[in-house]
Amino acid sequence: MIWAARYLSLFTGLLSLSQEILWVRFAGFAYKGAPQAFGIILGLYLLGIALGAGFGKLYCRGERNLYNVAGVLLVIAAVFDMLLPWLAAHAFSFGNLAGGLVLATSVIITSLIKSKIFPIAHHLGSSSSGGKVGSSVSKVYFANIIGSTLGPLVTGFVLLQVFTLQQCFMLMAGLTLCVAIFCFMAGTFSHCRLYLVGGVVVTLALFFLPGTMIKTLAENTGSKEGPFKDAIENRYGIIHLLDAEDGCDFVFGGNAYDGRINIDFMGDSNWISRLYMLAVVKPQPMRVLIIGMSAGSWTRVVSAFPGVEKIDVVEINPGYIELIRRYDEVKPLLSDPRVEIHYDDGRRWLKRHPDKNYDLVVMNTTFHWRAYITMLLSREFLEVLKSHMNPAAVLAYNSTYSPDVFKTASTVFGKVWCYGNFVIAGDAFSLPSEDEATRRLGALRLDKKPLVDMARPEVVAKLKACMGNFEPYSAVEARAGRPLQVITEQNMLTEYRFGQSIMKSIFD
Amino acid sequence: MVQTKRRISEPILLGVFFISGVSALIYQVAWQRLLFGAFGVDVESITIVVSTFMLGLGCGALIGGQLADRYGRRVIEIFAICEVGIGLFGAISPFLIPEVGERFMQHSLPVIALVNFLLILAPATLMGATLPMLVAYLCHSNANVGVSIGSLYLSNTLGAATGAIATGIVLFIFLTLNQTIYLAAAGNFFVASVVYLTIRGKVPA
Repeated sequence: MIWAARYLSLFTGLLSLSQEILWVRFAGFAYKGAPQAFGIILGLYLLGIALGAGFGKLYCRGERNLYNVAGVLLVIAAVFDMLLPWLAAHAFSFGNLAGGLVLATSVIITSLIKSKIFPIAHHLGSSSSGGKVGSSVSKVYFANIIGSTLGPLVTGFVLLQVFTLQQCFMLMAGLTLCVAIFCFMAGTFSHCRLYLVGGVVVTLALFFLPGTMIKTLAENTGSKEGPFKDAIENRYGIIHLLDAEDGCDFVFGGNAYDGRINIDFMGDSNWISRLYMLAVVKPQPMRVLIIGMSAGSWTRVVSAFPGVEKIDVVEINPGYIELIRRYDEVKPLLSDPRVEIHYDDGRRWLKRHPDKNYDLVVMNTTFHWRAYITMLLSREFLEVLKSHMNPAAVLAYNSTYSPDVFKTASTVFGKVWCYGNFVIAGDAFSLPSEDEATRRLGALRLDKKPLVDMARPEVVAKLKACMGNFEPYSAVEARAGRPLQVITEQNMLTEYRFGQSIMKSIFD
Repeated sequence: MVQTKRRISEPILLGVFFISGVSALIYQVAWQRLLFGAFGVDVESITIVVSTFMLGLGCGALIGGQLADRYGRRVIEIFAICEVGIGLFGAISPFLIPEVGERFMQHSLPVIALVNFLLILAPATLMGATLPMLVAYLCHSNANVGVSIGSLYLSNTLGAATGAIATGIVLFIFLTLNQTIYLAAAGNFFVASVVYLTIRGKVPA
């Protein structure tokens, strides 16, 4: 029966690592992509594994039927696998502390129960192997590792692409139940076939439960700007929408505000005026690079700039295309022959296309405290960007009010201006007069029609107000209240040192 | 090969394996960032790194098991050599990974995935080899495999949990990415030193 122990070890590893991937996604969503989420969930999961291995070894003393013991443990694991994600999602309605505690406990419990199997499988697979302890241990361990290797691959690449997070959680619970039945069969428990059929039926029933987990989690942890409308889930992440009374729906990527569907200068619900002001600063860019398309409002406005011949858009998550198709304001950019969308990491795409140069680069950067944002905000990446910019090119991106983002830009570019939370940087640009700004804004054309009516006094007044929002970098430095620092890939300043720590978020 | 002089007690073994676990997970979190910097961030990269780490542990487990059966109690010396190997790779990784990333960035994504895989495979294999070695070593005094592996796995995994959590909420706040990696390497060298000095009778067993 050594083979059965190895299969048990393999499936336990597969289910365990798959569930870890699911919890990382769950926590990443609950904490809006906080950089500490991955390490903390990994640590809690390992803590559960450690405790489980500690308890599991106790079953190895004595003469009981360990396959039946494993079967019972896995039935318990399946029940917890099914219930705990729901419990954690609802616990956040009582606040971040309650939600965090329930989430942490859930992660530990789900890993603890499954990892009790680990010493049992080793005992079953090794103790009957005579004197070859090392090699017999390693074979059972290897089977566990193969399962642990396949878990992230199957779940990360396939299951999360095809199914929702909720369905994946339920699928894992059902599969755990099936492995429990396999253990009972190996332990010569009676009526196993009947139980196997029951396990499959329960799995299917769990799988087809109505999809409300993300809605619950979004409502309990996310923005309350409007009612939950819909979610798009794929292996790249979770995008969800909140309904807005004015029709400019809110878009969230990984539960963090991404933008709104709006291209109207005067409505300006998403502060789209920042993009209009970019047309004032850089009026006729021929080649444009946009890193991070999100809901497409920015790209749609940039496509109205006069003289634009080509817009390369680099976006990691293809789910945004599905979103853009739903909204008439932004949908036309998908059929705009000048717009080419590349699904890739921005840095990798640039390094793989060293020949591409641009007159205007726009980055729709997310909050400065989110995981891996250093890869876009660091001095190293700005230098990569600069190497792709023509001498008079302009770079614009969102600092999300981190003054260190401006400081970093000032070490790479000769001129850095602040427009609200926008960094506008380059080596050779200047702000025009109000008359020239009026002319440049009036030159914007979308589908051959003027985008703004400069004959309207309120439009001119708004432009005048917007022009007053420009500040030089020195103003940002003066009001920061501390010496500003340069963000590098080594110090990861905005993610960790000055970031919004997950611990702070729990106790707020 | 150094002649084994003294047997290492279970508490010391559990202690050094805890530190080894701390270093391993510091590496996983830190190397993930180095690899993302070198090759780009997306779900494929994340999945490949996690899976490669696991596969390396598995390959190491097979090799470690064979070595444990061949060398008996002397396998503890090979364990110390493995720790030195992990530490050496850790110490050069801040230079090696970005350099390899620059050289292979222009290649196709499957080639980049393969390079990622090979980069992590060697140290992960060494890490994976350590568990069956220590289980076999401990089994010479405690014949119950389940109990031995349970204790060692508990200790190593508690260390790993500590490393994973501490990296995000403490180390990255006070140290740079490279300094964090060097700290993990120092952990490996410390483990090797303790084992070496103990079997040579320089510290109490």
